[in-house]
Amino acid sequence: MRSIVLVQQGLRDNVRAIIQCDAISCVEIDGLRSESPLTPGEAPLAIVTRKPARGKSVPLPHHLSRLPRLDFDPDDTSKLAANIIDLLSARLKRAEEDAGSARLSASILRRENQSLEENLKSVENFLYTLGNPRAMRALSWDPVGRLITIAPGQSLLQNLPVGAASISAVDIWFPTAPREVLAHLDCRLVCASGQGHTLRATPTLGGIDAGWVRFSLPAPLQVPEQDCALRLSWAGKEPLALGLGNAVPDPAYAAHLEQAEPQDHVLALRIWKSLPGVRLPEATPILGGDLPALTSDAGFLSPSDLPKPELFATPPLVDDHVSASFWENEDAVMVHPSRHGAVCAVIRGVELPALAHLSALVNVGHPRAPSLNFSVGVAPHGAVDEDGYWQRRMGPWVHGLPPQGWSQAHCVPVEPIVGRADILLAVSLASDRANDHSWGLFRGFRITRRNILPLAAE
Amino acid sequence: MPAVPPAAATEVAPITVIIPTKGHPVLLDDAIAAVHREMASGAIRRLVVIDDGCTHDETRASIASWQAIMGETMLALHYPNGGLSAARNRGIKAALAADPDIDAILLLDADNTLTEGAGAACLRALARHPDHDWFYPDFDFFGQKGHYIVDRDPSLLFHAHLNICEAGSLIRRRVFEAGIRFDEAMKKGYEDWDFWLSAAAAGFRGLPLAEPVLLYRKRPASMLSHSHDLDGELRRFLESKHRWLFSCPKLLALEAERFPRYAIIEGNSAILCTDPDHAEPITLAELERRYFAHFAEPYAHHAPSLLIVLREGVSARLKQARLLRNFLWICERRQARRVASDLDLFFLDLSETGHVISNDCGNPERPADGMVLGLDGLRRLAGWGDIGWIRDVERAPNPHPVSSWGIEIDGMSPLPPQTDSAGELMRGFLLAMHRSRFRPALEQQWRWREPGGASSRAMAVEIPRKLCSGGVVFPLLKQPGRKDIGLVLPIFDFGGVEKVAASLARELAAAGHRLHLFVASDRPIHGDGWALQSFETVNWLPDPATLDWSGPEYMGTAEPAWGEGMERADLVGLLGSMDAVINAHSAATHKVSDRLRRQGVLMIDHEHLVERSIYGRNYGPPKLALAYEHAYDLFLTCSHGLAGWLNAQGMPRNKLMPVVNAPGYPIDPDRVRTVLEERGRAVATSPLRVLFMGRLDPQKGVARLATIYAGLAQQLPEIQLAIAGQAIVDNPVEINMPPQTRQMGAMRGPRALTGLLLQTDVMVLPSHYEGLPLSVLEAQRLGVVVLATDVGAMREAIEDGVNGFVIPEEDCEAAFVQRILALHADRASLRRVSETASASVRDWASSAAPLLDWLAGHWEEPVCRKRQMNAHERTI
Repeated sequence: MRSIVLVQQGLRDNVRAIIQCDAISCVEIDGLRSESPLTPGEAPLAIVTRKPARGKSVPLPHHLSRLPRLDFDPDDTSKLAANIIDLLSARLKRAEEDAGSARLSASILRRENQSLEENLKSVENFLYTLGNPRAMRALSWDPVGRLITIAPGQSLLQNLPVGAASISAVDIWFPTAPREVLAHLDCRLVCASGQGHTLRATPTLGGIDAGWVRFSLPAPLQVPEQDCALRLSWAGKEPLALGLGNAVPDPAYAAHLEQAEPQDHVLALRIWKSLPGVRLPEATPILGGDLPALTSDAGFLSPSDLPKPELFATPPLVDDHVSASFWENEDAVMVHPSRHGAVCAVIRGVELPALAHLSALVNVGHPRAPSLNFSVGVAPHGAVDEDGYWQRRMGPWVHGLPPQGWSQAHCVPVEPIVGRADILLAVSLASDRANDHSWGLFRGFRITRRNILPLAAE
Repeated sequence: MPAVPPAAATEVAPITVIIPTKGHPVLLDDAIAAVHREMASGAIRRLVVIDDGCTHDETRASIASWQAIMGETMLALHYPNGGLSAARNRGIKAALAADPDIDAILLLDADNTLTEGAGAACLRALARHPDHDWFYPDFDFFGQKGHYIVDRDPSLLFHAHLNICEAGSLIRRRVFEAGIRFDEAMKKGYEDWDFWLSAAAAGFRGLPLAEPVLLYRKRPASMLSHSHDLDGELRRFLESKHRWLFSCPKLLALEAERFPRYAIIEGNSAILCTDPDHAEPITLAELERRYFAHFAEPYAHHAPSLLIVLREGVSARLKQARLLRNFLWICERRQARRVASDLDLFFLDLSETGHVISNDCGNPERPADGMVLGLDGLRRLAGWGDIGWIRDVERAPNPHPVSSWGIEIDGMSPLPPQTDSAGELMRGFLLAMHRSRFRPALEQQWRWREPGGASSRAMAVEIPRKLCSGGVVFPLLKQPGRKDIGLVLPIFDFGGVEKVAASLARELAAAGHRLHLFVASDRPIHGDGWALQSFETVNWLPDPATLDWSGPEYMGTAEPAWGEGMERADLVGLLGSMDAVINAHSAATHKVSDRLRRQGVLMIDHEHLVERSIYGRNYGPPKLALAYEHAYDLFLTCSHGLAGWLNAQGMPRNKLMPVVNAPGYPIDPDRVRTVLEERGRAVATSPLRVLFMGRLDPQKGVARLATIYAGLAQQLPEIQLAIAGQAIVDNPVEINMPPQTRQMGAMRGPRALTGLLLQTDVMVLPSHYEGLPLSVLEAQRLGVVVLATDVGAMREAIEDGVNGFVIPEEDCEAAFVQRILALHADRASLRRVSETASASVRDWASSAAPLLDWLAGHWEEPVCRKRQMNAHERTI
């Protein structure tokens, strides 16, 4: 900062002679236009006028109007010098005080910051030890039995109706892809700011648990809350199928495949948000601990790919409506349970060699249906007819699915399946009430096969 | 999203940031620090800080300190307090002067700040959207934390409703070069809203930045909160300043372009429209998708506010009768005013006596021809999922709570048999909605931002209504170069006023204007084969109360009690798209005339007749016209005499324009010539043919007529006497006429009237009071000699003894008889007067010419001037 002294016209040389210092400039008042700024870096110190001019109005810009005014007395120049020195001293004192204040402020802020940091750390520690939710599923779009295929070199964009902040992982549903193939899938979360964040396939779900694969960020996103999208780019050699969720009326939220005809379903996915360092919940393992290593082949079957279902078992005292049928328009198998117990349908003679795991996409089809339970099972072709005891071949029940709810039912074959098999589809009511509109729909089947190549080699 | 690299070190940063400051000496540091930080991105060249007379020395100390750090990249200016607009304008001026080559200016308030990466984000916006002129940030708050919805797909219509862009925007230099500045008179707020509207008027358009750039400090009390307190006052100011936007036709046009009001399913096809002449076809599947998109995210997606399902052929018949727009308006009004249940049924029938409207048809055992469902009702049905309810929709009578109304069209061709009823079509569409694959989309949120002050797209239909006090706006879009003129009548039963209106409409239409008939009551409309032909649309305001005459009186003439609730607003909405309104005796229209006039509609009143009570007291429409003198630009009168009377009663002379009546129905000049030639060839010795033509009401002097006819029959037994007409205003009374009198009843239609007048030599009109009766002029045109009492403006049509005879009222019966006997005896005289009468009659073209001249000189500056039309096109 350079100090300047404003002087009345004609006094510059006199004042300069008194100051005798190059660090202080003298600028005549008439050289200042009323609203023009001083040159950047110049700080006005005082205005010097002839003694008789004292009291007269000297036009100055608004922000200079409160400058100290000094008299120039040709008979007592030392007084002006002393005044200027006083002002400089005062300025120095103020500057030192300002610096002190700034130091004090910085100290206060540092202390506050430190205190905040400590408090935050305590809160973090506390949160981590609590059982309260520290992660949430911010979005869940279940697969509905429809697929979309990404060709090699192609990308898919899915806009997400959630803010980007704190997203930590995305689960994506693959009906067919073995885990190792996913190494060629680039999964990226793209924020509105243009920043992309790469998600890595996490081995915990391993691509075998009912088709869900988890892609995680190294840490939850710490960005300002903003729109975001998921971009998947496929660099594999064969086309890659992904599961789709429900149809959406807003095209902006339909999964968009580059250079392809638009479609109107979302990608089947789950978005996870969490605090940093939190381990996200995983699906309960359905298969044995060694199974992932044995599994390398998965496929998807739509109901329209399968033989027509038959009603197989009903409760003994059934007196209400029960049925099992294929609904062509929905591409679904409908099993209508009884109030008196589960109803089981069978799809006979399906080629399922080396079946390791079967999962069914299930859905309560009617908005006013009661909540339903679902189960899926599998038996070697014809075996179930011989003993009639179908329950033991069923997988765990999915309980209490609400109207229009979606889920998956799983099973691991009780007996080895080497060729044709019968698929068992069971539905029951979750509570004791009338079975009106109890549309238990099976929308598709994900088939996981054991790796039979080593067996063949043997 | 392709990344835009930051400007290379050698490139000149294109953006200057302006921070006006007053009262935030410490928070200012955060704003400046953020700018200082973002300068590193190569986007920001300079910071201009405007000290708007801040009272804190600390502010100047802060500015000086930052100046020391930033050197020439910061320009600090100090001014006495001038307000936020002045401070911004000073900053803009200084920024442009300092760097004439900058691309854009980013405005930042002293208590707000920039996000990290804001500079780069601004660069990206400038590079990606070279055709856009300003970029507004998302509503991301700190302090009171929050994220509000931002209009990602901006429309001028919604910008007229709320300010979708905050001042903290990135604005290209060209906007400022066009002279757009903040209004320094606006010190109470909304100056930024005004700025954007000014920019839009100049043809500039904005776009959301759609990425984090600005963080607003949101506090419980702020200047904006104060603005919200003054919302009404500030909005009125904006409406007045931006008339180019805040006009009914302009907002309607904006609504129609992107937010069609009606979805009409008819037979197997569907359309979207606001004005049915500008419809867009749509598949039922796409319509279903649009509805679900709106239900799922109403802040982003629009769906028509009214679903109208019609039996095939209904719209064609309504259109042919010019009733289609009125049908849509009434459908909408019934929903808006909750006259209608969720399901509003419509019945279309044939009439043989004019168009008829019924406000309530009950719930008959016949399938409906139309069915209307509002957006809320459809949303409930879509979410409800009671398929049984939907399946019953087609039953007749309808088992659900329904309302109904109907129209009968004069001479309508029957609807094709075997077509699906509206109920069947509605059932099909509702079942499709019920089974829609998009239903699951309703079960989740499709936005993570809070609504804040955002408006649902369903608001689109309401925005034009705001200019009409909330009234339902008539769905009529402007046609370039044509003015819309509405003629309002209380009834259209084919009396003299109706004929004059129809004739005037014919002349105005011939001059290139679009004419619209509005009947302000639920009475039938009789077109008489020709009277509706000049009208582009025919409309009812079907409120029975418009004619109840039970309201307060002005100088002895009662008004109707009509005008409660939203009734007036709806009439404003019905007429608000007109450029001019001619009110011919509609008292209801008087009640909204001042409102319409202030809205820019030229208001013209048309008076015809001062009525007289049985005690001789004057009353009638001209008295009410006097009451509303202030609300009209012009008063037309059917005669010079009535103009003089109104002037004498206090009406300013320069507001009066006689449009003197001419014959009421059109006739081919060749036909007139033929008639006159036939009359000339008539045998001079044949019995004289005398006719009375008009309403058989006491006003017309029917008692005198009986005396006159009796006298004629007595003294000239072979004379032919005829009466054409019936009682209309008053109850029919028994009148004894001579036995040879032919009672022909009401004669309707030009052909019948011409035939009747061709068979007439003398017409008598012994009225007690009159205006300037059209029957006199029609008779004169065809050479009939008219004898009339000296009432009203009769002498403006008849010069006694020259082209007819005017007989003093007192003891007029004998004078009538004597004059007719004299004419019987002197056929040469009869012929002479007949020829003079036919030669002297005026025509409507010359009568309407002064009005056309007046209109040409009074049309308001076009609402959509060329420059603003460009703005409109660019914005859309």
